[in-house]
Amino acid sequence: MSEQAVKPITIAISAMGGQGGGVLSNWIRDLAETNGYVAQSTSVPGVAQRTGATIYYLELFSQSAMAQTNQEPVLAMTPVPGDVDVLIAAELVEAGRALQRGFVSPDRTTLIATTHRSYTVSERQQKGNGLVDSDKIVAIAEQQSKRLIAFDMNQLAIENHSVISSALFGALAASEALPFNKAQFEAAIEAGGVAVASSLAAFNAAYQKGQGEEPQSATNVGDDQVFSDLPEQVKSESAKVLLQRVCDDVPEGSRTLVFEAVKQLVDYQDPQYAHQYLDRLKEVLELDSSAKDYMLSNELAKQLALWMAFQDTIRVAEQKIRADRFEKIRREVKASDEQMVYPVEFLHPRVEEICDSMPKALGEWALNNRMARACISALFSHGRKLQSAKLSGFLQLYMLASFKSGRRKTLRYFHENNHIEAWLDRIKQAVARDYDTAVEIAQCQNLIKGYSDTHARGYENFNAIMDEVDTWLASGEGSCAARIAKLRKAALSGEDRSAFEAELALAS
Amino acid sequence: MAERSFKKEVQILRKGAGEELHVEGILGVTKALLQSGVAYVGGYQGSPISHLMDVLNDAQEILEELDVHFESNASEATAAAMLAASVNYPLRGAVAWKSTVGTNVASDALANLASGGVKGGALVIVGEDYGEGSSIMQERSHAFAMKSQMWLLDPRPNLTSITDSVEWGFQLSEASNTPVMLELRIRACHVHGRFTAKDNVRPPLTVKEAMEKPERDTSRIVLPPSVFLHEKEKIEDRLPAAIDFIKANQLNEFFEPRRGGNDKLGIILQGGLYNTLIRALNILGLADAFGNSDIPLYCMNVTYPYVDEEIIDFCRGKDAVLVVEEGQPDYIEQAINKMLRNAEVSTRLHGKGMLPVYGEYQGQPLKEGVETFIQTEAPQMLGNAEVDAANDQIHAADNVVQRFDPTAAAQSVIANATAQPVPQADNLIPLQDLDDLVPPRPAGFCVGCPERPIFSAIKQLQFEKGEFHVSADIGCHLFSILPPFNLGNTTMGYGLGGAAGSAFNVEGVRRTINVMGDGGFWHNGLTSSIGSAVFNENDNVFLIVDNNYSAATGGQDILSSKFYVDHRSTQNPIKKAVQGVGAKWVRVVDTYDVETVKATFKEAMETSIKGPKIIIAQNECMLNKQRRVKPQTRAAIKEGKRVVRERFFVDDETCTGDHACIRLSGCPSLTVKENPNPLKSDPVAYVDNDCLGCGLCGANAHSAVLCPSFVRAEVITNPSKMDSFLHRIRQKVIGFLQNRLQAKLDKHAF
Repeated sequence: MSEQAVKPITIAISAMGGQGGGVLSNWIRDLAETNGYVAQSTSVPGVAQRTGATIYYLELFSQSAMAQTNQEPVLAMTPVPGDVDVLIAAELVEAGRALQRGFVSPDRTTLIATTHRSYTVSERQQKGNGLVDSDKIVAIAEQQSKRLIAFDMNQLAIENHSVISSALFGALAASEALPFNKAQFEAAIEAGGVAVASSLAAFNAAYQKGQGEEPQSATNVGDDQVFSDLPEQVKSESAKVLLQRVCDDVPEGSRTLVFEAVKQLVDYQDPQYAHQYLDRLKEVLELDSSAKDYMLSNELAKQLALWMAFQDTIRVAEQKIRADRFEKIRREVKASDEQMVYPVEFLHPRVEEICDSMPKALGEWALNNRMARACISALFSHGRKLQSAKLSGFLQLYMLASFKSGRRKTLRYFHENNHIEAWLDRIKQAVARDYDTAVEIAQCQNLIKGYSDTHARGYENFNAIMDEVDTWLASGEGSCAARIAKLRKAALSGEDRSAFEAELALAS
Repeated sequence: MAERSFKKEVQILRKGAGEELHVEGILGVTKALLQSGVAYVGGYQGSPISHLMDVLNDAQEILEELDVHFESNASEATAAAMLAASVNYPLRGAVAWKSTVGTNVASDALANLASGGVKGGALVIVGEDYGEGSSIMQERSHAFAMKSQMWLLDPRPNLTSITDSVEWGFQLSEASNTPVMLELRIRACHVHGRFTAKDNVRPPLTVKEAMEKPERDTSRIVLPPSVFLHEKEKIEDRLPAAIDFIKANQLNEFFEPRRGGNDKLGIILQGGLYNTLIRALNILGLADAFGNSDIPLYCMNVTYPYVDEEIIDFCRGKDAVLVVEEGQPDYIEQAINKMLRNAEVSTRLHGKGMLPVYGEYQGQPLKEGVETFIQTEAPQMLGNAEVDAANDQIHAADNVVQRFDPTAAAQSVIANATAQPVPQADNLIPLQDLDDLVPPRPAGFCVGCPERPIFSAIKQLQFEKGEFHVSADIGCHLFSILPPFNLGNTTMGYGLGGAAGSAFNVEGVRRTINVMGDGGFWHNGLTSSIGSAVFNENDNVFLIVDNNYSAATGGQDILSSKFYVDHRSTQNPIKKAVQGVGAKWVRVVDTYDVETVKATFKEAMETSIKGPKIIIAQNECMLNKQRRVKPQTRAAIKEGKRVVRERFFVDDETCTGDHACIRLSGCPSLTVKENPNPLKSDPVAYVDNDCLGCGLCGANAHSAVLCPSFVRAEVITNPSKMDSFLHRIRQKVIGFLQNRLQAKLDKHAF
């Protein structure tokens, strides 16, 4: 066996429709054809490409080999597992799909994969975190490929005002998997004649990065949360007291988390509210132990803070009018200094949200009085578009936000506070019986999210689970943790309540 | 205006003899048509043949120079019927469509055409949408050729073979007075390769000349008693003439085995599978990269009719032969079995027993099938990959793939050829784990698609009214059956969405919704679905999605296209058409106005007016609009004109990560990102920079009462003096109040 085996170079591009896989194939074809090779490329266009997964395939064949035999090569139309020299993936899960189909072999294939994700509908539509583990795909890619070049090529393309195909082309050049040099690659982009300058910039950036040694892992959304360290000093007297309290009351391992929660609650309401939070947490901490690594307290510290900072209309209005938010929007839409940005808020409070923001007695009356209810309904039957950076819109929101000091008197506060107290009570009772169940109850807070109907359905599910908990507390049976975990999962899956109701119907 | 413009590429069609052309298969076929002296062309778009129609459209000028007439036919039936021009006159005509769906639609006209036969060459180019990426039912065009006695070409998938086959397709058609189908698989249509051009040929007789001197031959008309004669002619005259022509011109190819090969075995294959088969043999060490194989091949570039004599000759004296025939049923294998039996040839015949019975024959299944064949019949031939390489007397180091270290290239090739599995360490993650990591990614609505809001509205109405029976149709709107909408019960064919719901023409709790696109509507939906519903006093709801183009097939223009199109009559409203067939309850809505769409559907569900309730939901395909508008916007900005760009934004602090908005949209640019709050782990909704500002997010937030997180950012470029004046005042007041707020927060700052 020697180097006499004459074979085509096989290249598969695994991409989504609309990602510019066609442009990339054209570049590779031109590159080959102008540098002593014949090239053939195929694709499957049409409806299959409307945002779906698709494969472009190329084969390159040396013209000098053809000249020596005076024969035409027979080039294939589709990749064969085990017979692919280079696989280029324009999205990470598409790299995974190519691995799954066997188009990457450890003895042969150079895998060029971007680590960015374009989430599929099935991942995005979950009520919680439905995203797949990106890191694991990169790990499998590394073990299955002969060589892996992996980094976020999309980000690099964006930074250079280009599209991912240029960055992929740069990484391909860096891999040296093809018998062409960098100048020849660049010439192919120039010959293409479209957006040459920005394409070359992204190409070069990816070329540089591709020559780096290690493939870069992907960042998973929702992985370990990082809290900032406790500060040495704080800027105000009230903050100083709170910081001191966190250090005194909270075990060391939980302090950064709790401090984060405290900061958020001061921002949400006032220092007094943060003290109330610490009081509540302390009662549970006293029942918890270091033997369990304070698992319950940590969970509760998080869930309690989130619940206490419930999103009422006052909070939403306050979030909408802050200066840093306007800056954030400008950044996000990439507005230049000369451009003006006017946000239009899509708001649709229902009669319930309006009454919730009223003082308790008035709110209850309005909700239960047919006339009052009808009047409010009529006023808010349609959604509103509020121009928050123009005066009338801003002032409306500003006024609503200024009700913050009276929040503790609102109907909404009354309801939420009662629920929180009852929930804390259950946790405290449960921890004496079964620690895991107590942790599960704490986690149930996560079911209450969203606004209007979504929020109401979340509450329904939460309450149904709490009923189960109460039955359990009264029964004296062992653990209820597995049951709650199942119910929680069912509540977060599917669109309607059918999965949850089915789970609930199962005898506990 | 089609999705892809070929204005530049079509200039290649002017190239003359001897020039080497580097083009896509479809463009090659168009060039071959012009080289063959075609007099008229037509067809109906649909992948993988859409680009052929686009190329022809963009080549109008060149076609006119050659006096070639081009029709954008209303349907495949129209296209097939157009071939009637070749019945009386020696005119060469070609039409193209997606198969088998298009062939189904065309089969009435095709059967009539095939019965009377043709004088001029009639070529039907069928783009076979079978296998990976296919959007249609999996069937074979082969059956149509057999049932109507038409000839079926399946050339080897390189551009030289494909373009040659166009030319001899016409000749075969004329020699046997029979229409000929040229079958091109999906990747062959889009293969980018090269071939040598010939000069274009002006048709010897143009359609104008033919029209001016009408000729008539009643024996060619499908009417008794001629029909009985036609069947006799088919068998006694046309079939033998075709077989003679195929043999005389050696349209099918015999490939002798290379030195040291085994002529006791053989493979019979469809021409279109040649390249894939050679690669399979190559991987098994049984052929080199140039197609020189150890096993003799009989390559059927004409897959119908069969040339029995050639097949019997090929098999005679061999121990065993493998038939490589894609799809099912295995018509060719059955026929060969019968031939060999009748000729008393005892060669063992393998086929579907060793290869998959159904499904696309890609490299892997062919490799496995051939391996089984050799393993069974001549196992000693396997495992000689290295011998094979050594036998090649070629020194072409520059074709060796050089990886990372050019000096190690030789070793790397050795490593490749011996293909040892890499030792598995204990800590390796099993590949099966990918099953959980790789979610499916089906095709779906594009960013900003105007069809998405319609289904958001229907889904919201379902929350109120309960589930609807939805009869879907062919077109982009069919993506409604996928998550997150999950709307659609059946799809019965192009323009048949309304027809497919006709059984439910009874009173019930909820009316059904019958969907159709503008493409399907003009294809045949006006009569098959709407006309039929009016006539039968169907009481259900009919949705016609009007996005100004036949969007799913690539944005081709149709009767109701909104813009002026050269050579075509457009701007004919669907509303007038349905009213013309007697529809009474007709509403036209803007798709992005979700509340109105929802209210209109609600009204259609509840109204007491009898007859079909027709909702025409209008808005332009965003892909096409972008192509149209982007250059205009860019120019306006350059000129210093005030331009407002809109896009959406989600307040990541207000969003609670429940993703209800995504379940009502599925827009690729409405995605998720890391929650900015370290206390929360659920990702928040996020609108990426691909957002076109279509407005659906806001409309949904309102009509479904979702959440207060959605913001439409209006970005003003080149603001006017008034803008700047107001902006200054606003910033002054707002800035002052924001400072006051900040001062309050600062009192407790950390």
